[in-house]
Amino acid sequence: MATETRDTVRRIDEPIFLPPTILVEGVGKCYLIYDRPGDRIKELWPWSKKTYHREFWALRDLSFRMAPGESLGIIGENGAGKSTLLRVLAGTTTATDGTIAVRGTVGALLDLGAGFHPDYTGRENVYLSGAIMGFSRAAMEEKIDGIIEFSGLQEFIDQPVKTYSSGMYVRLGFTVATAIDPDILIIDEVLSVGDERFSRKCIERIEQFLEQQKTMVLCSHATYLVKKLCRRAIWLDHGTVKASGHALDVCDEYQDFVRQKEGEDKAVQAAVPARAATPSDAIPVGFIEARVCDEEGRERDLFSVGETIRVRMVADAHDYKEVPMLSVGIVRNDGAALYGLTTEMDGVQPRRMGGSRYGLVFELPKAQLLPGRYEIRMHTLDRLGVRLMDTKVQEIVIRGETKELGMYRIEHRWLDP
Amino acid sequence: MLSIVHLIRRHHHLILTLVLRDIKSRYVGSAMGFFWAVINPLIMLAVFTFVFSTIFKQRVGAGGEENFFLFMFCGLWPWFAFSEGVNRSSGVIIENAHMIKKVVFPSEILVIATVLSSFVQQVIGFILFFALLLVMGQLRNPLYLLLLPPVFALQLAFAVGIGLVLSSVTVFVRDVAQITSAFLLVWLYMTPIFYPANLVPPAFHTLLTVNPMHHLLNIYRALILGGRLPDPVGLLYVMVITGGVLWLGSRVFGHLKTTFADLL
Repeated sequence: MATETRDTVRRIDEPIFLPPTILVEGVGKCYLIYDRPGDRIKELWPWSKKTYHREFWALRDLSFRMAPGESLGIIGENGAGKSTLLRVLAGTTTATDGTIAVRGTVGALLDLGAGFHPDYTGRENVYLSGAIMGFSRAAMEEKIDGIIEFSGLQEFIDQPVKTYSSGMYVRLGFTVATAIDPDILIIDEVLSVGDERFSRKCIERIEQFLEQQKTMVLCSHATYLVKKLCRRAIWLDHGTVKASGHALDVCDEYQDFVRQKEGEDKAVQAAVPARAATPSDAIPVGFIEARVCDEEGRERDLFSVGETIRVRMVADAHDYKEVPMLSVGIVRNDGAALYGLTTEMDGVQPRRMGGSRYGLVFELPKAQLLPGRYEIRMHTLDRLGVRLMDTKVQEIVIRGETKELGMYRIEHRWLDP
Repeated sequence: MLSIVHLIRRHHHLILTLVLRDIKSRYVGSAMGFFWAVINPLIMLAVFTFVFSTIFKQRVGAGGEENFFLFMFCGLWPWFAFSEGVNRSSGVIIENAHMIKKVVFPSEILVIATVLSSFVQQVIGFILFFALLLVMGQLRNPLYLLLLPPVFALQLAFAVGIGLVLSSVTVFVRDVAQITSAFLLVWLYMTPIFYPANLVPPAFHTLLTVNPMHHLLNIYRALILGGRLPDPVGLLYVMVITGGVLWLGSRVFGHLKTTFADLL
């Protein structure tokens, strides 16, 4: 049951008795940007202290550790530093600050071709990659048939790699990177390039890999992949960790954030009618109370999937002579409308509560809202439901450990065929 | 410096693979294939011999009795390997940018492989040369040929040392690769290959003494043509310079290579 507020980072129970395979402490990576190549030389001049560069910190003060059998997903927007982190982990570039310790052999798929030489054939590149990793030719010869078969490139294996399509590149690259059986596998954003059949093979192989207690770091924009293959995840934003924890949670938070931004973009374009300003003293029926709470009446903005959600509304009708109408709407943070209705549609009237006050509680028993951020929009309307009088909006967050897609879990069964 | 030796031992398979690939790639598709590696220099050799010996009437030896062609071959052939190795090394890091950026491996290997690849042609040429000497009856003391491998190692080490410096600096200052060819050309003519050392005016003798290649080529000539041991002072000088250059090369390269991936 989720009872923490949304700002807490959940601590993962690490198997502390297993020595880490990856240890990252205070790592930062700074790129020096020069406007002209000549400036770089000017800086070497020992007599002049003038600097000609701008600093760009792609990574700042990152720390995490991984044990064997763990899988870490790295998500974030473009330019957040994900590829830089992977490169630093793989060792192709050095960190400016901090320390990185990696235990075991590393197989890295950092771009489509895993470092293939464009003029060599696929076969030659397999041997070359093997040689770089320290495998003798004999050892690679044992593996080559398996590699050719898994990648499905029998017809093209003896063609220069520069003639390959990007899908073929990935297939060969991934196959080689995993065939050399590394202790740590690092994959950067390339799995989306292959076709569906190959993606499935990839996922199967990765899952086998993880079962053998190997470590994997995966970077992907496809959060469903991260959710599926990784137990933990880190959300990188401008080089720092914005969230880290269980992959499902972190992915959900990230998706919320992305949808929020999209929703904001849309809101800027289209004036949202619900927020149309009516001067408060001119509101005939105004809310005195409009809150979201749980079954026990405690006001909350964080719920788990399946918890009962109640919306408590009390309005003061002042001089309004009729019985007002109340309405509730549920909208996701990217603007997607989930459900909305008025009391009239259900044939219900707000209860008279003394004086000129009317109130009602709207309950979603065991609400099957899927993880995300939503707005509960509450309105008062006139008796006929024509004029919108007051509006209150409450944001809520739904959390849960589920991989289902969508906004609401629809009741369903699975039957024998 | 020892790290280089250690490197070679650990990655000898990779180096071998790269050398073979390099040789194959240079002649792939051409009909004569690898023979061009030998034919090209031989043609140059023939032209030089004609120009310097027949037209300039260059003479070698105390009374001009020594064979000019043999003298020149002995100096020019190793020079080809040395100069090509150094020239190609200077750009090798930039040319293999994709590998440096994507794969983790000691990039010194690229320089070593390049120098070795150019050296292969020297070996083949030498084998033909020895056969020629045998036929001509000019092979004075064949046993001394057994002393050649250490000299080869010395030449290779020298080229690798220079190559390491040039290749790493080129990443930062691309002009270096251009300057290298010009520099090597000047060095070529400053070394007694087309002319014997005794023709050099005294004013320039210092240049000769400090030129390591001059001494190195003398060693070759002594062992192969002269059938005698080389001048120990010259040998020592070459060894010291080679050691120093190799040390400097590995230090400079090692220091600069941490930023290769960011610049390429």
